Amino acid sequence: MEKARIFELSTIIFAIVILTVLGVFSDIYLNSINSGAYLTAHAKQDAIPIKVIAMQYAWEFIYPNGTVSIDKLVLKANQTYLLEITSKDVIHAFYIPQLGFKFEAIPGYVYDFYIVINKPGVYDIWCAEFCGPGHYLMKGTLIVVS
Amino acid sequence: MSNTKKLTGKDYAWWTISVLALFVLFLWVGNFGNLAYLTQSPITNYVETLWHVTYIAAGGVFAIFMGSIIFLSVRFRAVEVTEAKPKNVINYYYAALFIDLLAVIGITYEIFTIAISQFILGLLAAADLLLFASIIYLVYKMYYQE
Repeated sequence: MEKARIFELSTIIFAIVILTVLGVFSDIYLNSINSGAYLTAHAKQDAIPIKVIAMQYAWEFIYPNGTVSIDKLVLKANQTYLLEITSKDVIHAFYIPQLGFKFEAIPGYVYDFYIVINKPGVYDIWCAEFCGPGHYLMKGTLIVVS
Repeated sequence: MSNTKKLTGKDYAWWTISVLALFVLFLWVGNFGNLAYLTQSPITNYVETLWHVTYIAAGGVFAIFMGSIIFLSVRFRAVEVTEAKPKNVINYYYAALFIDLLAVIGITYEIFTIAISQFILGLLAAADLLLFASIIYLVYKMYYQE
């Protein structure tokens, strides 16, 4: 086979290998994040459930004891929480940039999302799905305490 | 580099250097695939690892294609016999190129070292792009002064 042909084929194979590796990695990681597979069974069992309800244009958080908080979520570092994300009206997206991840909030559907944050701090909560003229106002705060 | 069709060992060495230089440049511009703004959490570990792998893979693809384009276009450029231009014109080009490169390095360094708003970050990134465009124009003018 010609040298040039070998070089051409090697670039195609190189691209296929890279895309396959990235695809497999993404699939494994996404499944792990979505299902909380990185947690032990014990940690999952002890997870504190918090309802996250999106609405135009605020975030409502309901703690297990019934306390309701608007636009402010306070969590403890290194504690596992189970966020039950849904929406009251239109489709929103629960997005914490510093966590590098976002979740759709869809009316009539509840997404379960395990979350553990190890570093105390104040983080942003944004809506990452255009939900109406006040979309830009839909900002919350996540406070992680030690 | 002579303008014969056959590539020599020196040509392959220059080709490799072009590819490696662009790979290092790509990694440097993207902070070596690190996302400094992420917090510490199992989810961010997944996100950061995936971004790291993706960024390095993208750097490989970018470096191979851009490095080859640059090397091949210089190696096989058309040789034209033109009248010698006044030397000071070329010197101005070199001076402008030097200032452009300094500005690109300075702006990119600012992007990574100063805590700035997204708007300012966008402005600096746009300035970088503009400077890259002016570098390409300058190099072009150095070859084709007509």
